Amino acid sequence: MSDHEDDERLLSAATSALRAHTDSGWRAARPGVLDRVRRAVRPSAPVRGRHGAGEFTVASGVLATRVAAVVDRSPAASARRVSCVADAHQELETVLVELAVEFGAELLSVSREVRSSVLAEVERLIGYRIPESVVVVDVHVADVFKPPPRPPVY
Amino acid sequence: MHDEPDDAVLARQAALGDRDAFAGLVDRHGPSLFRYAARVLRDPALADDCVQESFLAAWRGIAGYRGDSSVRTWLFTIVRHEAQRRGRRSVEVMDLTEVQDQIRDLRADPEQDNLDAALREALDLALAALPARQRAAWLLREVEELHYDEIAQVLGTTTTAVRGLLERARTALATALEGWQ
Repeated sequence: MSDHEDDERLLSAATSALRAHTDSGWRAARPGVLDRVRRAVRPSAPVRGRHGAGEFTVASGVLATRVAAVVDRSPAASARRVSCVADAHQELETVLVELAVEFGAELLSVSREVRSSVLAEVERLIGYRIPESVVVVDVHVADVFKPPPRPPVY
Repeated sequence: MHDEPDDAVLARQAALGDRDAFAGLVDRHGPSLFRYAARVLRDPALADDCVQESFLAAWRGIAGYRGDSSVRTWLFTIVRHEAQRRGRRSVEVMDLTEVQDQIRDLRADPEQDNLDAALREALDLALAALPARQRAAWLLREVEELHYDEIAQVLGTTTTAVRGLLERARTALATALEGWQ
């Protein structure tokens, strides 16, 4: 066997050994990573809400998370992306919901059902009625992955 | 049998605020990202910091991840940027003769009874003799098994440049490992 082939075999064996290896440094870093992510706050624009005693704000990220949870309760749909946009005065402008809907599902009725449950949830959270046009539902037909029910994230 | 959700599903759930889904991505990709960062930076403490900050940046930015590249490529790109911010040492290249000498000593060590660990150590030494971009490209291809276009994306270059980097890296590593023979 030539020297060149020996070199290649050696490099290949060393590469396989490295590929199969998990650094002890990662095992030490992992709990810190998970802890920092758990405590990290995502920057999120405030949305104005109202109740009997006055006004309050709720983070748009929290609204989006709650909307996604409501959408995921529907048996035929799953939230792919949710964004809540407020205007310069922190008034809710748009709730955009992208849905994955099971192939063969009644698209119109699923999106109607989702729109009405999203409207109800957003109104419950911000404390006042919003026009139906605020909620925009985009439907993407796909296999629906139903995640296990998630606990609320605040 | 229950299949694990794929990366795109976990990323979508994480974007919607699901921290458990994000933890799934951390567990799936953390070992690779750390392995890469540790060898690019050649400093375990810096690698730890780099990977922590990268995952934090990923968590904060995942709502903007549009799926144009795989989640894995996206994460490696974040790590590469974080590593670059810390990487003074990674641009230092160890002298080839010194590396070959150290590899020869490693080979001759009578207390060395774990061949895989010794080979890994020799390879780490050989990698230290490579210029930073060659090292990064080689690790991404041969150890992390990214495609050429994914490596080009991570390193912010072209696939042609990646081919050149890999060719030079392979030759240089084989030369450095001659100390083992």
